[in-house]
Amino acid sequence: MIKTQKLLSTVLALAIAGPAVAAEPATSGGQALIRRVTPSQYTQTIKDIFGEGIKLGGRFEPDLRANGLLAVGTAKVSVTATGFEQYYTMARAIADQVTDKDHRSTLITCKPAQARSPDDACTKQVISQFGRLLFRRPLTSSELDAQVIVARDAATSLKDFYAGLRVGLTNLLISPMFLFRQENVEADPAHPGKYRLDAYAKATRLSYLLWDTAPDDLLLRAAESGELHTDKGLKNQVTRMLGSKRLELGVRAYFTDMLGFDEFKTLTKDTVIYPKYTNVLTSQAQEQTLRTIVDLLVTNRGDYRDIFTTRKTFLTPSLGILYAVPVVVDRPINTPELWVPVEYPEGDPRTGILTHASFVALHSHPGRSSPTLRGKALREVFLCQKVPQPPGNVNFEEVQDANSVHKTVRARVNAHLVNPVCAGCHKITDPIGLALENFDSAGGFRTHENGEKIDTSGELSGVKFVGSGGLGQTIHDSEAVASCFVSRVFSYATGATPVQSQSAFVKYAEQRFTANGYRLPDFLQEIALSDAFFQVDGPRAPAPAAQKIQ
Amino acid sequence: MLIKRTDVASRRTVLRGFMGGAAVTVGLPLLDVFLNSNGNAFASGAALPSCFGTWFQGLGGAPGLWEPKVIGANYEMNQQMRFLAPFKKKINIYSGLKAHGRAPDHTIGQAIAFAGNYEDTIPQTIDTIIGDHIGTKTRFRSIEVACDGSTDSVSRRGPNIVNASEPSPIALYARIFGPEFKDPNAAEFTPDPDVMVRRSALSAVSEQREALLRTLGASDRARLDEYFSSLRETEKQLEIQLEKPAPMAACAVPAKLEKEDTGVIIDQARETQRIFAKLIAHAMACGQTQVFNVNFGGGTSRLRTAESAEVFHIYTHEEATDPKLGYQPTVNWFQEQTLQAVTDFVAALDSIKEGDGTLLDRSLMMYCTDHGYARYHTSDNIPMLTAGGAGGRIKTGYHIHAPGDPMTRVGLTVQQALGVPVDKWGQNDNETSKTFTEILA
Amino acid sequence: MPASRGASFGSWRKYLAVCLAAPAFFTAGSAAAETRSFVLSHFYQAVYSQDNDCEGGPEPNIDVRFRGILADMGKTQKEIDELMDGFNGGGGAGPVHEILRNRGSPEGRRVFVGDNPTQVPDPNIRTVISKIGPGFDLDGKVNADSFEDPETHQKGLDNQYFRALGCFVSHRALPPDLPTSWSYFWDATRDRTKGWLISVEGSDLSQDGDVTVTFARAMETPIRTPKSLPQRDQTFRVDPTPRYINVYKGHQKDGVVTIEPGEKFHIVTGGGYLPLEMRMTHTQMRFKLTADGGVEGMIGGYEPWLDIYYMYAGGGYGYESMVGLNLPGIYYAMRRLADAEPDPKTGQNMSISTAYRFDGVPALVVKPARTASK
Repeated sequence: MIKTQKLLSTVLALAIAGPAVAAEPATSGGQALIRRVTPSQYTQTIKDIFGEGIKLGGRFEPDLRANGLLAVGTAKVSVTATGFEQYYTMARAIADQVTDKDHRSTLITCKPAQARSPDDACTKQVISQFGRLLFRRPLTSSELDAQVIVARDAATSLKDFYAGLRVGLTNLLISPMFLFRQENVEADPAHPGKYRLDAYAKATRLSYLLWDTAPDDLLLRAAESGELHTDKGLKNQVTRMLGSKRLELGVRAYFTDMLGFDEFKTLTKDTVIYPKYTNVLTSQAQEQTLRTIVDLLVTNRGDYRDIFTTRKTFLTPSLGILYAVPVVVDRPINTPELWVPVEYPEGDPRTGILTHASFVALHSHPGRSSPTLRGKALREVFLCQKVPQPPGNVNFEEVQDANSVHKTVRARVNAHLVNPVCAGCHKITDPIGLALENFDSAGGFRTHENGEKIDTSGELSGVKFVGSGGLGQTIHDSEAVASCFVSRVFSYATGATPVQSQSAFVKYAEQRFTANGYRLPDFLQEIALSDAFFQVDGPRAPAPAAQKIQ
Repeated sequence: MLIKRTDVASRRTVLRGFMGGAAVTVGLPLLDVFLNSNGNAFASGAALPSCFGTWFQGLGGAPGLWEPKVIGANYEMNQQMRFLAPFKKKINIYSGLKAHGRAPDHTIGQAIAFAGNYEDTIPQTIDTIIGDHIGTKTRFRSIEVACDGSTDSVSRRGPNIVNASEPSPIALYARIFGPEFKDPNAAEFTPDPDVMVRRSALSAVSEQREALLRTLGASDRARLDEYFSSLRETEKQLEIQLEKPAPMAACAVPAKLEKEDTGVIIDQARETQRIFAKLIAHAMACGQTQVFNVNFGGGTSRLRTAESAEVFHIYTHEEATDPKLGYQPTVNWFQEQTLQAVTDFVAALDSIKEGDGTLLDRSLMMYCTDHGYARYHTSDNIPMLTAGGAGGRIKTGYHIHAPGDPMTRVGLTVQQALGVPVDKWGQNDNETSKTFTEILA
Repeated sequence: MPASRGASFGSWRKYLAVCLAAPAFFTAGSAAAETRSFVLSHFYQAVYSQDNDCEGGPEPNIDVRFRGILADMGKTQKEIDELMDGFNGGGGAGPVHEILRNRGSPEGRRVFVGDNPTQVPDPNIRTVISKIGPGFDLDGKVNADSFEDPETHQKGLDNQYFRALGCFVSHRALPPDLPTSWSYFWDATRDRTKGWLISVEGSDLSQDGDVTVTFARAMETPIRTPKSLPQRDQTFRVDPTPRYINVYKGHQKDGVVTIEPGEKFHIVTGGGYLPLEMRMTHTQMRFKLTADGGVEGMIGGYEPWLDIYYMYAGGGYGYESMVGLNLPGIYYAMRRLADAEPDPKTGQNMSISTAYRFDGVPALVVKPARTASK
């Protein structure tokens, strides 16, 4: 039945969109931004440039979530003193390893004339090679010269060529040009009076969107040659990138951000109540969902909306314990648990990512489930609807008291809905969340609470349903789910929430997404090839000349 | 804070000049005027360095007897921890932590707490990791002692590379305060050429500031400006390292030891530990080391009373629970002896006054044992404790309860507090990236 | 807790993505509508230690015993003091350990006394004289040696193993406490020991009636809770080795399951205080399904006492010097107290009555695929 529906809707969508591709509407807006690289981008970039074996030896300061995405927050954050200290420490650790005896023969492509003296030519070669990859563009001659001088001075003082190179590399790694993605703007020859991102900024946007890492050599070359500014050149690169295994990194990074997995860092559960929630589950819960999504959307090029209904997932023995599902896998003692693919039978309550611990446990209190937090997260994360914060003077005693006369969470939240001040907001969150009550605060499966059978009926914007399966299907079928996703991905790609003047593009992208069967790779291609993705209003406003820097 | 461009250039020139010439020696007299109002730091901002150490005794726990009943700051000491009550504001107690992995034995608890992993052997331990970060410039990289007459040690530089313990207080005295001892406040100071190079190189980055900011809009400019201010903080830290370090106002040479009585009798171990504690405290107050490891009586502990050859370890396996008390009474007695010894050590560090604070305040001692329930030799709910605030980097006075979490959380927190650049620590199930943020200052 | 009951194995096996299409393992009662399975959290000797249950009190501690043995060997007080000065926590080498480990060795040879307990005379260790204790009535008789259950007051219970070792301090406990040594070994071996599974199968386990009980060994090791008990709802495959699968006819009455007595019980253990291959005859088992969905009970029967003795001796001299046992003492006590299977020639009983308590939590149990990957 579901299958038929899906097929039908795909066919209908295709029919509506028609075989002829509607042209992208002309829009304006878009900003050139300065965005701090995220921890995963930093990590992956270092891995790509210097190899898997290089240890970072440091930690990152927290990102900022803005308008639902850390990606948008990256354009608002700076580097604190503590953060800089860590970047500096990591930079030194990385430079130490790159220039040490184990790595220099493979990573440093030239040899100094004398090991105990500076060698500007070799330094220049190394700094420009790594600088291009780190800065995501070739170094300017003054940037290059500055680091060659630094390396020369250091090599002279310390009587060691590699010590000099180490200092030069460290400087590249702490440079704002590396730590921030700075998007440069140029006049758009195709549209006189308008601006566009320069080819390197374009390459950078593409690479971080699709691969969550800095542009590789081929992409930089396409930028250098101007190829990236041509339709054909852009298409070649986008096709190459979408066909790469690294697309999975990009998709994982996007969903990690969208689903708010950074909150796992501070998630705690009362293990007296939930002994199944052990240390390993923090990472396994996230991994379960990411694997499920990658398998569905990338490997099988499935319909995005099916993430809410899919019966397929991946489990470990510890997740099997949590969900009370048999998982059999051989595991030698003291080794990480292995993953097995699992397919639930039709009608099973554990279907869709909303039933994963990564959702139900993340959006719960440490000692009890929360239909309110779950309903709120569901509206905000998947439907892009803002739920107001509760007023400061609410008495939560009745809801929080697990020993109250009310045996189930439903009874407790209903008691609280008698208060009209609360009811206004709670009726937009709780009826959704109550459908997930088969999952306790830790994500464990349950059918009863305090001896009473759990009622999982729910409602979303007038649509009534029962249980997590009904909820998943309702979200799947809701109009807002696709439009929310489209605008989220676009915000993620550009680093900013779409402005009014971009709304025509968002609407267009949504139609294309629908027409293409809600397939993520196709949609990413749509964005990556669009004008709107690279469009900027103009160069960043220069600092007023009068502002004196003392 | 914004910096003057001319300053950057001139400082860089000056530093280059330094490096080109001979090492700079600065021999300043010790004057109070150089101390800040607290007396614990150089007027320039250089604080006295942090110290770190481990304190180990096996067979530590009996559930219900040591963990405070209340989580957070407003707890009361449980019976075994009562000796530490005077230091409650200066310690943290950690309960519920676990050493994951293979079957419990005497090594896994200490291996996970101190090294984050245990397969066939204990890899590098936390004291050498932190020592490499904070203590490479002192006369002794670290001082290891064992209080039961053995040379057993929990400290490892790498798998099978054991930093053996000193069993003899007299020998330790001679090592630290013998003829080779130099008054730290009289020593000449030579700036580290590597730090000079790094300081100089950093200015090449900070010099880009003006050119870069000029191209930016107001909000981006403020963000990049913050980046450059942060960079400036790191520059300042390097500048401090190029200055003569803070004077060791509390340095005093303890009286020479004439005799010692070491052995496995608990009274001997307690007294030996008291002497070691004093020597280590004075060694740190005099800048001779910043890292220590105390092994009180080992894992399969041979500690015993004078009356019987039966040892602490045997009692854990043999003694039945007293049905009225609910625990093994003799084992409890040994465990309380251990905690009194821990208290002696903490008291020794705290007795050295440095300005408004004490040596303990700028130190961090990490106590751990190997079993949560010595009777079963279990690896969960293993008692852990830290004493001292690491120079204000660790907030103290808390009981932290994290049932089932790996013990490595304490080690990670401590490493981060002491500036080790690490974001996760431990292997397999013991890997963690969660610090106890509530105590990180 | 009803929540987990809803997730019992019966309705779940089809979820397995790995190929486990084989029918459910428990085939004996194929008409059965309900199966509940458990993995054991603990398994330990059933004892009931009270004041005055050993004549003159429990066995003395190691220091006292060793001094006594040395004195019996004719050492002077001065020699004893010197030797015991080198006792060194019971571990390692040293003259005192050399002497005690090999005490009674034949002239010119060094033989571990545990391997040859009869090379010393019977030290006559203290054994339990109490009339109160746990166990099963294996022989249907009430005799001088039998116990009375402390709770049900059933008489005629046979548990000579408790009598033999119950005066060693490390083997003493008053329920629900576990004996120190037993708890240590069960715990010490748990992470390398495969799960022990009990399943009970019946048409409706909420009612009295006939059931089938299976006691088997898993291919998985239990995953632990933060408090180190086995997790509930972990999946286990039954080790297909038929020798270690024990199936019994049983009956549930008033929430207590008992098996029809008399069958054999055999299983591979994780060592510790259990022979590596445990062999029991005349097996009896009794357990109840607890309110929190777990299981709690006791199993007992006759075991070859030499299996048990050589398990202790195999633990080595450390069991004497660090745990406080007296190996020859155990040998003689068990030989004396053995109460079944007389040797046809000598009349010496070769088996001893034993009893063990256990408890467990719900588990999901599946039959392994024949081609289970290694």
